[in-house]
Amino acid sequence: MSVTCTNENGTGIINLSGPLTAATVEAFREQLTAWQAGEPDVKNFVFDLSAVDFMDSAGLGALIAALKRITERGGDMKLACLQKKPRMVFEITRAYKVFEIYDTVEEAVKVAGA
Amino acid sequence: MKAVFYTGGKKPWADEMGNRPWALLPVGGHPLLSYWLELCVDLGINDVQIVLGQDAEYIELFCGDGGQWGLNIDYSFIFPDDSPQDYLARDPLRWSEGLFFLSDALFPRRLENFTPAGLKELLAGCCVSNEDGPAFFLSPNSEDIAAFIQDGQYAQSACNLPGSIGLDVTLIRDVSHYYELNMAVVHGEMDRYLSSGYSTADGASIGYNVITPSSVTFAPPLAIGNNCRLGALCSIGTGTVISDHVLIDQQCELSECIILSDTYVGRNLEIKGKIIAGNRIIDPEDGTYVDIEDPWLIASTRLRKSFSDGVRSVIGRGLALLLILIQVLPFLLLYGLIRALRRGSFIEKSVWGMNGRRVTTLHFAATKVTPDLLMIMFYGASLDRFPKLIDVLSGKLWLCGQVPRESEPRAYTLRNRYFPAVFSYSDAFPEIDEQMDALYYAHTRSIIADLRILYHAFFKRFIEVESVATITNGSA
Repeated sequence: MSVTCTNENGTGIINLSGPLTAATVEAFREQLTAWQAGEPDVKNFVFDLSAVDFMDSAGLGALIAALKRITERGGDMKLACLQKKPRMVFEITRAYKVFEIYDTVEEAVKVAGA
Repeated sequence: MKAVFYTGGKKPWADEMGNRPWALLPVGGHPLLSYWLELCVDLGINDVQIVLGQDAEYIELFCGDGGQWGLNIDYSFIFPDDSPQDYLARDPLRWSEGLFFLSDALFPRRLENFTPAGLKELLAGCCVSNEDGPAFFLSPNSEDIAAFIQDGQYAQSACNLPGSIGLDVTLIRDVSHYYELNMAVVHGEMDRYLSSGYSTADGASIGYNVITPSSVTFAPPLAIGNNCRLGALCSIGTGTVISDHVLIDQQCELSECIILSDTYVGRNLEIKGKIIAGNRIIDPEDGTYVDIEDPWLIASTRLRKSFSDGVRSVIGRGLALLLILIQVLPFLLLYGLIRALRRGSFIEKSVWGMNGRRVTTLHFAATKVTPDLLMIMFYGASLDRFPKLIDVLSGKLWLCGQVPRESEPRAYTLRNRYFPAVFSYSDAFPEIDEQMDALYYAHTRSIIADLRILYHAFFKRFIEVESVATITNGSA
């Protein structure tokens, strides 16, 4: 799991790559927390999941934990570019009701920055 | 007349749905092969020859000798390079009195105008072809049969089923077609296939040994197979077909789904319009599938024996035997003293053992919480586990794994994630939560992990003997 974080006009763009599972959530959590610590002014986040090809309940749990942390700090979190297989996991767990999911990063950034 | 059914050959669309042979995939809750056998019954054909391919044992297990249908079923194999017609050509005279031949994933779909009496028209002779040639052939005529065996051709000009019969022999093309067929059957066509004595008055058909808590809602039409367990507050909607040995946990909502055998569906899930086969969830629209082996979501309940399990079993039994030989004298000596001083004894405990069986093991119970030197020596040498080492030899427990559970294994200890053992991480780390211990072991299971457990459990107990004895005495 590789995590690339960038600050785009005050919105954090988090690019995830690889499967988000029990084996990789720790790395994801650590990298995200480290970047957030260095960018305290960034409140809103867009997670680009275009390169996440698989996700299990642990991966989903990590995203929900991230959502909880971000909203507690008064921010907002959007997901973008969900692939078909992770989308199926979102569907069966009803997680799509918890997250705002967009087809493209641009669309998500536009809404997050608004 | 004799029937010959060929159940071999690869069907790529069926491979997506797990290990079940394509001939046993359910349509409306019944295996495809059972429709063929019932067709034989309706046509008055008693002798059936099933020509087996891969997964032969599953087909034989399902059909048996045919007594369930009142048929005589025999089995044979074909050579790997032979076609089903080659099999017929081995002894052509055997079929000269009439032949009913099927060699593909064909479903005898009964149309609205179907009547059982109309089926008899088939006996005059008919044929349905797939891209490789005739896949459904029925004829009482020895010349037609000879021509069919010789060059795969049907002599009669009309090579389709007469429409008046009300039967459409449908070739299942892909996973999407398979899904549509299932949904069509449960959405109103099912009663065309039921034998007398059954009824679809409520639009539902439920198999044997299905446990349904009172709060479960069923919305017919649906078909549920044998030995299913549905958790509380499940809502099973229209068009759901559930096969054998399925566990559906609490607060699920399923509709327009096919749940194939040996599947576990986790808690609080909402699944619509999908095929679930073991740990695989398939979207029938485009065949996309995702394999999930996650006891909170979707998992397979079938025990999967792997090569490493075999190696682990041999190593575990060898080590258990070695430990027994080392411990037998100290055990007899110290346990004799413990019994004489009435400091403790072994009591029988019923737990869930290997392969999901209920087994009885001996558990040491001390009479005093505060350990003395005798008890410290007994625990320090892990002699309290001596009888359980014998259980390893008899195949009741693994040597290393999870703490055996007295109550029924729950979601995290589904059959393929439950490894009851003599030693576990909780022996070395008594403060660890039992469920976390079980989950961690299931996730990290390997021969190295087993050796690590053995090291921690055995030697750490020896080194930190006093605290272990106190904790163990307290828990007993």
